[in-house]
Amino acid sequence: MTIILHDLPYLDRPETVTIQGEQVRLRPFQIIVWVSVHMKGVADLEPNAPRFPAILDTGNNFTFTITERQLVRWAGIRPGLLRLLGPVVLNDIEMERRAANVWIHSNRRGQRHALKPSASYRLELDRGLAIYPDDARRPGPRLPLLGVRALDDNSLDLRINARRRSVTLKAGRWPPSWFPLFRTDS
Amino acid sequence: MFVFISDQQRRALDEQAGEPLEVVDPQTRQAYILIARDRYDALQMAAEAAGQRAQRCGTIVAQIPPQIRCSQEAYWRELPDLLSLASSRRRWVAFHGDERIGFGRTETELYQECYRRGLKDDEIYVGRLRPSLVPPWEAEVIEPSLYESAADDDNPA
Repeated sequence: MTIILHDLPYLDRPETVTIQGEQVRLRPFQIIVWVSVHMKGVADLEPNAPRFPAILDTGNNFTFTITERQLVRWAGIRPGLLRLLGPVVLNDIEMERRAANVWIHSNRRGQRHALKPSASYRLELDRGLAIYPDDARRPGPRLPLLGVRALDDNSLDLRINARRRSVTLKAGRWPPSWFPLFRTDS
Repeated sequence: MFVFISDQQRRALDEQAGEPLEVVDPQTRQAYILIARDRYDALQMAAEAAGQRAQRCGTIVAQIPPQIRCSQEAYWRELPDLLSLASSRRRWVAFHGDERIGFGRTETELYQECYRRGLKDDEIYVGRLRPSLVPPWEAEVIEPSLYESAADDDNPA
């Protein structure tokens, strides 16, 4: 069993983070995960791969949605470098689906932005990710969206503890609750 | 051409409370639908938008590299038969054109096997071994959720 996000907190107040020199506001009650994007077929993420926040959106039925601008400025990847797999439609906006995987960076237990060094988990996205065009009729998501399908593609276990405002994400089987070493609700 | 509705039709429309009214020509038995102009315009716009969307999606589909498309089609053709073979070690399957390269526990190991065989990225397709309703080259629809857009950025949190 791999613990990807360990008691990752979400806040009841806004917060601001800096990404590639750009100030970005995180809204209250948003589950924020730090991610990287990379081409498929890569087993290990380069240590210097750019990291940026994404919203873990449990109402989103796709894998990962990112605007063209975010992909270029935050992930350092031009859309044309990723193979075209097909279209996808969001709010009547047609977007390209391109082949890439997303890596979630593991947090230090109970901390929001403190990441474990060299601890990232590869999410293999069956249908690739959606790239929201910069010239679309409506503005795209303010932050990239990590949808439920990405978790489903990778058979992950997501638990949200609203009492403690924390999120735990695991790969593999959850240990039995009687096994005290792995209990997370203590 | 402009035709005024009769008193009988007005009463019938009132009873329909905004819903379309079916009227019939007694001589030809041809049926017609009577709806409010603004509703008709909205339907026209929706139909036009759907047509344009299909056209734009079609443009994206046409740009998929031909060998990837060929591999996607082979995956989609074989998927129903392959589903019975799915297991924890066979979660993904790779295709190079019509040739099935193999199964894998992860997508990445299949990509690496393809590279080992000298195959290129724009020739192969690796797909998940599970039921699917939409072929991999066709448009998927993302729930139009209430995500916050860039335009909201100036609003107070």
